[in-house]
Amino acid sequence: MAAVLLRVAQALLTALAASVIVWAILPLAPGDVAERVLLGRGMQDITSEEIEATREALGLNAPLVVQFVTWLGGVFQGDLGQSFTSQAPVTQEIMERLPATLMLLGLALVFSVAFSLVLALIAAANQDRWPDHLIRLYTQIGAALPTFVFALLALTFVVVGFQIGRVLADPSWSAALIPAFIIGLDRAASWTQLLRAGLLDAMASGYAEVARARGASERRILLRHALPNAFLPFLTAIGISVGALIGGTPLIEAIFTWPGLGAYLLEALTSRNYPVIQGYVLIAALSYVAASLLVDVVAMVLDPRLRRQSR
Amino acid sequence: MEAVLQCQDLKITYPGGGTPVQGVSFALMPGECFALVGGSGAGKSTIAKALAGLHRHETEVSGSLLINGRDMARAQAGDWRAVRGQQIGFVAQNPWESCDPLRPVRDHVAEAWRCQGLSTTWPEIAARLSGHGVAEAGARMRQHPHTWSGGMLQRASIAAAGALTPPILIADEPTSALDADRAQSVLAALRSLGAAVVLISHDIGLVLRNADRVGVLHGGTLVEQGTPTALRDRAVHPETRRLLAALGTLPERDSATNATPILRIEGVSASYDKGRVAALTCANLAVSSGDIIGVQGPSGCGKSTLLRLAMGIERPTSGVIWRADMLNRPGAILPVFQDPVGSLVPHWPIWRSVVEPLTAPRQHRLPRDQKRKKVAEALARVGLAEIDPESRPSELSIGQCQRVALARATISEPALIVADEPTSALDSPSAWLVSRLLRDAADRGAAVLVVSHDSTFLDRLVDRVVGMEAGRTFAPDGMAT
Amino acid sequence: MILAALLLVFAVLGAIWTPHSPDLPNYANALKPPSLTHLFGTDATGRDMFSRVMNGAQRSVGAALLVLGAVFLIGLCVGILAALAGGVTDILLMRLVDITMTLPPLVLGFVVLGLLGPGLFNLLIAIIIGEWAYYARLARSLSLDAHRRPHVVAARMAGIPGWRIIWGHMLPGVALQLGIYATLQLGIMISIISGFSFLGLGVQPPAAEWGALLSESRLFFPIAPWLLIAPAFAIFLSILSANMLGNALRDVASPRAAR
Repeated sequence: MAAVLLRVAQALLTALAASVIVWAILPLAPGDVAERVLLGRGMQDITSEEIEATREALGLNAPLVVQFVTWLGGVFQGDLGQSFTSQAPVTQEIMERLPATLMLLGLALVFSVAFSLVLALIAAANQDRWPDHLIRLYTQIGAALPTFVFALLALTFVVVGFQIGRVLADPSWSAALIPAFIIGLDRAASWTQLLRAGLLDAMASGYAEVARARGASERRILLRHALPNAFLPFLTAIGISVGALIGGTPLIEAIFTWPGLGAYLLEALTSRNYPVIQGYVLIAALSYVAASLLVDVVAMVLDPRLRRQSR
Repeated sequence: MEAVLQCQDLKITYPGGGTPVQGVSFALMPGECFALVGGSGAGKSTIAKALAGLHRHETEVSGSLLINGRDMARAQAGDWRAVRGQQIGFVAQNPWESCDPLRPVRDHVAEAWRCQGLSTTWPEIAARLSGHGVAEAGARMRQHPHTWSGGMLQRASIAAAGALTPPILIADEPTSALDADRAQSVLAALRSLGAAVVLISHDIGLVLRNADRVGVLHGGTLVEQGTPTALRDRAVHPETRRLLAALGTLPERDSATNATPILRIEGVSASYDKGRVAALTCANLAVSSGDIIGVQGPSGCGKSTLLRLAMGIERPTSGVIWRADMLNRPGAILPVFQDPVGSLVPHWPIWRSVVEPLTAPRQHRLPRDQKRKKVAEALARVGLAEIDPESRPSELSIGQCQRVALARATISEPALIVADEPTSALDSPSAWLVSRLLRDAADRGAAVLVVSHDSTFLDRLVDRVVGMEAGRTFAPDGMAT
Repeated sequence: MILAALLLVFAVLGAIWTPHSPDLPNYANALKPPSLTHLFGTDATGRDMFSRVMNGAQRSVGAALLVLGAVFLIGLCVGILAALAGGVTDILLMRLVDITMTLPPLVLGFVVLGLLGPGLFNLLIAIIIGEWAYYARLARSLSLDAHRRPHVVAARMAGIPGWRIIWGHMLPGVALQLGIYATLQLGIMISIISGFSFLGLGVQPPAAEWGALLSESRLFFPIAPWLLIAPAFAIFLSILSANMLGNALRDVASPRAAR
């Protein structure tokens, strides 16, 4: 329990560190922020007095620490500032798009975990026989195709080519099914590779041999001993991959023309809409922290050795 | 009486074509303990696995292997499953590796019944564990394997192996992961099951003390077999003699205990993690030139910390460590380690590792051919004159690596040699050689401080033993120093 | 191995010579299907796709190698420094690493690109900022590990000076392990660079790069599907050979981990 609390405290610290980076985007941004804000409001021929007044109004003349605390206070109340372009609150715009992204990523995650579990178990149970060879071929190809390339090819040649589903999708569970399947199929390749290797390691371990020497069936050893033991490193890897999945949303949403956060970020990047970029990065960082926290806590619950005071 | 297990001309062939075992024949009578002993690479473990059908299925086993009269040499996986557990029990070398780390110990034992489709109860398991000398078995068996000691966990493995009272037990180095004093009682637990035991071991002393009959393996064949007394007195094969030589003593020597100490450790304590974990509470030690001092104690008693303090790579939290001036120059204290391969720089030819102490800045600069001569001498002294000095550590055996490390530790004539479990990775003949080489170094004037849990090794080598327990040192008579 | 070497030759050759000019439009020749003169066909402005793929190799593969080289060196220096200096230096460097690692690497890349604006050079900077911390942390733990090895302790006891221990005992092993990790990451790096370029955040037109080519070709998919295949296949082959190279290296260096 103490170890779990320690890990939660660590996660909170990490989240705070991440928020510093997110906040720092604004002061680090090239050009004058106040000027950008005024341009965003559609003002022409801005005078230096107007800029100075806006700076004062936005609190940009205060010391950086004060600015950070004010900003963080706003974040806690759900205020991420206003979009430079639309003038709408960033929080509101993010909330409109977040469900679509979560839907797609969540479904993709479910697919890839399911695929890799099933495929790795089949491969490990049939080591060096044809199902194993076939699955290894799939993992090699999948690992060599970046998700966006595979998604692009699958979308254009299979989905559009055979007219399954629509390309221009509105966010609904049924519309998310095909993109999530495609992402899952690609992501599962490297996870299958990892889990298969873990299972085979466990099947060759001392405890597997002892179980074998007692007359346990290979199936029993695989499911009862190898799977739980190989699952832990697999889980950690998934936790890390969630970060990559989050970071990959702009690409994936660009390909599937999915109206989620990633697409929103791309818009913001081209128009240098810093509050929006901040909002996206904050959401991404927080979900990353939450995902790794979840994974570590689950690992502690499963593995008694991790529960002892860490470090 | 009929043999429960009989091998006739057993031959094992790897898919690559290698034959690690050939022409092995022996019979195991009910209730007896037959030991297979040999050096590393003799084929011991390969036989142990084949006897329980645990070889990889590509590996070919020929000849005959009768288990209760049934030939299993060419048996399929399904046939083996019926035999294992019921007819044959198996105890592996490392008790922690034998247990699924995610399950409590009681599950580990209960699996012996469950994987056969039989049921058992927790009280039954607790009773079996108590029967093998596990105290408070009912409560302790709910804990996970990593919290158990090696000796206790090995007893749990033995209880599981004997769960269905099989007439045959295969024990593959069952005590080599344990301290010497625990080994004897674990072997007793093994014999108490009443089954016939095939005991695989590298330790000829242990085998001669415990087995009813002994077979000596060398190069994959059984070169000699007989009762312990017969082997001890009338060994014929050179390999048997080589193994037995490891039981021999070193010549008597006068220990120079009355000389003035060069290193004194007085009332020293040390701790880790900013004082949270106390490694040493009160340690006393005095070492003079030519002394050979052994430090012995259970794992975790602070032996290694004491050594690091003596070497000066760790500082005490309190107490006095006094070194004579001769110890304060760099290179005056040289170490020998537990892991022989890791002691040598993996990407260097061995001569470079050996010569390194001579290349330190404050040493005399020697011309190239002088250095080469010194290396050749040092290698010859440790019996490696035949080895190419250009070879890499990975091309040598573990025993040879340790001898190279000893050549390095002695090349610059250090005043103190500090050895941390120098024999725990070695087979007994290599360990014997290490004790002789350390003795030679002491005879040339170096002080030797050696930590080991191998009492045979210490008895043979040292002038006096300092016992340790829970961070304190004890004199040989048990009085706190 | 051979495949990787061929690919490298292909990339170097592509930088110097291509059968047709990769950037010069020829509108009369637009959207031609693959033929003997134009192996992969031509794009919407009549540029030879084969030449563009060849020319793009230096930006996709070359940039990935460049980034890896940079993070390898930064990571090696920071890691060894932190491990050996210890104390305040170690704590400061590792906190910096921790802070960098609070964001998923790609997200940090987006942040830096948002600040610097798109472009190949800025993209490389962004990826280096996103990745160096992982290498530094690995190098630190490898160095700490190496520092505890018996042969290093023996050398210290013998009075060998610190720089000789670092140079002779530790650096070769640490650099090898880190290098293997970097090689295993080569494929991921190629995919990241082409991914950013696909979004228009990396290589800017008219310069050819595989990801950017995919993005251009996408518009003409219904009439010219071959344009999509060529760069996708190039990406696939290069990552495949990079992965195989990395695995082979790892297996050679640590035969026990081979499977």
